[in-house]
Amino acid sequence: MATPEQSYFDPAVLARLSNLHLKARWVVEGVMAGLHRSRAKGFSVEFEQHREYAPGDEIRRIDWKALGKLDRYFIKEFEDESNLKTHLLLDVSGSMDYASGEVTKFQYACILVASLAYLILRQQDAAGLTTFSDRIDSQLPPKATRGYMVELLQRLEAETTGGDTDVGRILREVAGGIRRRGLVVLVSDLLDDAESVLQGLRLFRYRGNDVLVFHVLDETELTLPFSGNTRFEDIEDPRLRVTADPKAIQAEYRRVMENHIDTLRSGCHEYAIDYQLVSTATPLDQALVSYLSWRK
Amino acid sequence: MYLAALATAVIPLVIHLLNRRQQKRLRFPAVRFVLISQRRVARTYNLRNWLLLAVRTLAIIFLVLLMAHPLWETGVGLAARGAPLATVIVVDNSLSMQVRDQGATFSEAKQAAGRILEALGEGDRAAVVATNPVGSRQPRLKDPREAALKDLGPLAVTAGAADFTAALRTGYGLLGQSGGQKALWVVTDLGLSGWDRLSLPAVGEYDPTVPVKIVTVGSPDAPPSATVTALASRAVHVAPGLDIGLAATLGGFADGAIPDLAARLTIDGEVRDEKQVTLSPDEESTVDFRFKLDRPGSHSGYVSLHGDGLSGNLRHYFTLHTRDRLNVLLVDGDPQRALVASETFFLSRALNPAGDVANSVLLPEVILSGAVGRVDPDGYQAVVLANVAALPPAFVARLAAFVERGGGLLLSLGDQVAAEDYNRALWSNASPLLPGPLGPRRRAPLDRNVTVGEVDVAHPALRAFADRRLLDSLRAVKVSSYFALASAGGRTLMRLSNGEPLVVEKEHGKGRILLYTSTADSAWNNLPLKTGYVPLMQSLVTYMAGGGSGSIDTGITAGTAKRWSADAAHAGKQLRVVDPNRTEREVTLEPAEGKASGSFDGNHFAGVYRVVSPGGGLDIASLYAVNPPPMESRLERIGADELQRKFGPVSHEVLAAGALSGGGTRTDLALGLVVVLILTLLFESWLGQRNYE
Repeated sequence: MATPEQSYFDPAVLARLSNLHLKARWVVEGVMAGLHRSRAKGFSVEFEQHREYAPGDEIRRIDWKALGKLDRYFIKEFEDESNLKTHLLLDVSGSMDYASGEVTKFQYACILVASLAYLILRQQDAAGLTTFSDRIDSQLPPKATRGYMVELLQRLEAETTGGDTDVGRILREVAGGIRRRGLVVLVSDLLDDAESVLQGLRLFRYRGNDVLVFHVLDETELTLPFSGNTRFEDIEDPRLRVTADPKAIQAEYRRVMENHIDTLRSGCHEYAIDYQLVSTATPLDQALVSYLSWRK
Repeated sequence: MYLAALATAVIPLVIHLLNRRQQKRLRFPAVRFVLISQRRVARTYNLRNWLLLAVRTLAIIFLVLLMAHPLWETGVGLAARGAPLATVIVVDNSLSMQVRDQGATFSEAKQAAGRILEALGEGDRAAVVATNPVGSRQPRLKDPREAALKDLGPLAVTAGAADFTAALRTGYGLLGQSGGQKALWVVTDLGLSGWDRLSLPAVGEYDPTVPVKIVTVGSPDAPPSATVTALASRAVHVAPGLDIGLAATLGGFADGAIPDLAARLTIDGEVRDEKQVTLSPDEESTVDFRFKLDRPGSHSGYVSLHGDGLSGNLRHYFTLHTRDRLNVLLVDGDPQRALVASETFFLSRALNPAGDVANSVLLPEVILSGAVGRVDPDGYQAVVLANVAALPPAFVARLAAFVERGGGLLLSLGDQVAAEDYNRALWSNASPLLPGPLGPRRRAPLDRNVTVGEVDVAHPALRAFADRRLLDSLRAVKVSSYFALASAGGRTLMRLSNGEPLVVEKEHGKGRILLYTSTADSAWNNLPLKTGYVPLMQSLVTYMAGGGSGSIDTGITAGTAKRWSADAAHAGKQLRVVDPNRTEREVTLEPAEGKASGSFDGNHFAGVYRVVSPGGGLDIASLYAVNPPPMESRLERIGADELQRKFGPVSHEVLAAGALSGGGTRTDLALGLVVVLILTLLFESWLGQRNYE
C-alpha cells in the first residue's frame, strides 16, 4: 500500500486532479514541506536598501544598528541574489501522447513543468515557457511576476500533442533566441537522434546557460514488456510500422534503448548538463528535488 | 492407427501459422528502436524459430512412435535383445488343423510353436494358449522349456471350432501381467470357420502396441472337403426288428462337384448300408439309409464319407436308444357283432394302424371283459379297460399290483360303467386306482357343444400336440357324454371346454394310471374320427407303459455342454462320463428348480461318450454323440482384407512357418525413444529460452 507521501507525488493520483495550478502547488508545497523538515532550505539574498518603518512591518526586520546611529526606525529590504531567467522547454510532439498506464508522458511533463514554474516564480525568479514539436508551437518569455503563473498554466492547459519530434533543430532555434544567461529546462521524451539532441543542448552551454534535462519515458518504452506477435505502429509516423515478437526482441530493444539513454547521459555529463531520466511512474517530487539540488 | 497419428506432427506448424496470422496492433512511440532491434535479431530469431519448429515436430513424432511401441527386428524377431521377453503362443487346435493335410498341419503347428519357444533365452517367459482348451488348467507364463514340455507337448486337436476371441483374451491377459518386451504369436491354418468368429471388441482389453505375428501352417490351397451336415431319423419307433430310416445330409466344399462319394452307415462297428452320391458345389445332398436292430438297448454308429483326396470331417456319430416292443391288453367292455361298433375297434387300430405285428412297437391284444379273470396283466406293459362294467375284486387286486410294479393302466368309460361300482372297486379302498371318485354321467346340452378345451402340451404324453395342426384336431372333438370326476386328485392332462377333466393322470407305485372320462370309441364323442386320435392314443399308451418309443440321437456339437435332468430325488448322485479317448470325468447332479440336473462341458473330441450311473436308477441315455461343427470341414482360408478388418487397430503380420528358420532378434526401441524424446524436449526448452534472451 502506498504511504500518504507516496500518493502525494504519485503521477497517477495527480493526473486525476483537473486543476494544473493545484497540481503544481500540491507538488511544490509537498516538496518544500519536506525540505523544511530536513532543514535544508533557504536561499541566500542580498541587502538592497533601508526604508522607514511603517505600521504593519515585522518587528524582526527592524535594523537595530541604524536605530542606534540615527535614532529612527528603518526596515532592511533585501534583493534576490540573482534574477534567474528560466526557460522551460516542453516537448508536445505526438510521441508524448503515449501511456501504458493512466498517465501519458505529456500529462506527466505538464505537471512537472507547472510545478517547476510554480517553484521558480515562488522564488521570485523569472520563468518562461516554450512548447515545441517539429516546430516551436508557442513561446512565453520569462517573467518573474506572480501573476505570470496563471498565464503559464493557461498556456499549458491549452496545449495539445501532435507533430513529429525534432528536438535537435528546435533546441538550436531556441538557443539562438536566448540573449541573457539563464537556466534552460528541457522536458521531452527525446525520441530523436541523440547526437542531434546533444548538439542543440551544447549550444545552450556555449551561450553560458545552465541546462537541466528531464528525459521523460513511459516504463514500457524502457522495457518493452509485451508478448505475442505484435504489429507496432509509430504514433507520429503511421508509415513506420513493424511486426515483431516482443519477447524475441526484448533483450535487444533494451540494449538499443539503454545505448540511446547512455549516449544522452554521457553527452550531457560531458558538457555539465544535468540529465535526469524519469519514467512516468516516477513520483514527481524526485524530479523536483533534482531541480532544487541544482538550484542550491 | 499410429501412422495416422503421425499426422499430428503438423500441429506445431499449424500453431506457428495461426500465430503469424493473429497479430496484436499497438501504437507505440519508440517504433524506431523496435525496428532497429528487429533488424538486429531477425536472422538469428528466424533461424531459431525454424529450428524450434523442427524440434517440436520431432518431439511429437518421437512421442507417437513411443506410443506405437516400435520394435527393431531382424529376421522374424524370434529372440529378444535388451529387456526380457514375455511370449504368448496361441496354437489353433481346432478340427480343421487335423482334417487339412490328414493331420500334418497340426504337427507343423506344434513344430513352429516349438521353434519359437526354443529361440527364447534366459529370463524370458512363455505360455502356450490353445484356441480350444481341454481341461480346467489356466495357462500361465513360465520358463520356455517348461512351456514346451507341459503345455505344447500334450496339446491335441479337438473337434470344435477355434475360439480365437477367448484365446487372444487369455493371451493379452497374460501379457498384461508382464513388463518388458511382449510378443504374441498365433500358429494357425487361417481356417475361415474359426477366424470368421473373431471379434476384437469381445477380446476386451487388448494391447495394440503388441503386434500379432500369425504363423500359417498347412497347405495354402483348400483341398476338396465334405462332411455330414445333419442326421435325421425317419423312424416313428426305434425298436429291435423294426425297419428304421436315417437320412444323412451331406455338404461339399469344393470348387467343383465331388463325384463317386461313398456314404457308409456303420452301427455297432458293423457296416449296415452304403450309398454312392455325387456332391454338387454349394448344394447339399441327402442320403437315406435303412437298417434294423437285432437287440434292444443303446447303440452307436456313424455315417462316414469316402472319396479320393477328400478332406474334412468325414465321420458323423450318432446314438440309438431302443425300447422293447410294448404289449398292450385291451379289455373290451362293450363288444358288438359289428366290429366297428365294438368299444376297442378304433383303439386297437390306433395302436397298430397297419396291423403289422412284425413292425409295430405297440402290440395290442383284445379280450372281452368276461375273460379278465383268466388274464395275468404281468404279461403286458399296459392294460386298457374300455367301458368295462364288472371289475372282479381279484382282478382289481392283480391290476393294483401290476401298476405298483410299473405297469400302465388306462381306464376309458362308457355306458357300461356304473360310477358307484367303480368307486367301490377302485376308489373306496386303501390304495385307490382312480384319481378321484367318479361323479354322475353328464350329457352335453343339445344346443351347446362341449369340445376339448385345455391340453397340457408340456406333459411328456402330449408333447406331440405342440404341433398346432394336431392340437386343432383335438380341439375340434365334440363330446356328448362323459363322467364327472368329483375331485381330481391327479394331474389333469386334458379338459373339456366346460372345464371338466377329460384325461387325468395318477401315479401309483412305480406305475401310472390314466383315466379317460369319455368313451374310447365314437359313442360319446367323435375323437376316433379325428386326425389326433391315433397319435393321442399311441402317446398315452406309450407313456403309460413307461417310456418313449426309442430314438435316434444325432448328438451335440463339440465344445458345447451335455446336460441331464432327472427327478429331484436323484440330486447328489454322480455320473461318470467316459470320452472317446477313455478319459473319465465325474458329473454331480445338483438340485435346481425342483429337479436334479447336471452338465458336462468337456465334449472336446468327436465320438461317442458313455455315461455311467454308478448307483443305477437314473432314466438317462447311456450314450451320446459329439460331432464337430460342419463348418470346420470348410478348409478355405480367411482373406488378408478380412483379417485386416478383424484385427482393426492391432498390427499383425502373417508369416509362413518356414520363415521361422530365419530366426533374428527383436529390440524394444521404447527406452531409446524415451531418451531421445527427453533430450529433444530439453533442447526445445533451452532453444525456446534462448529465443527470448
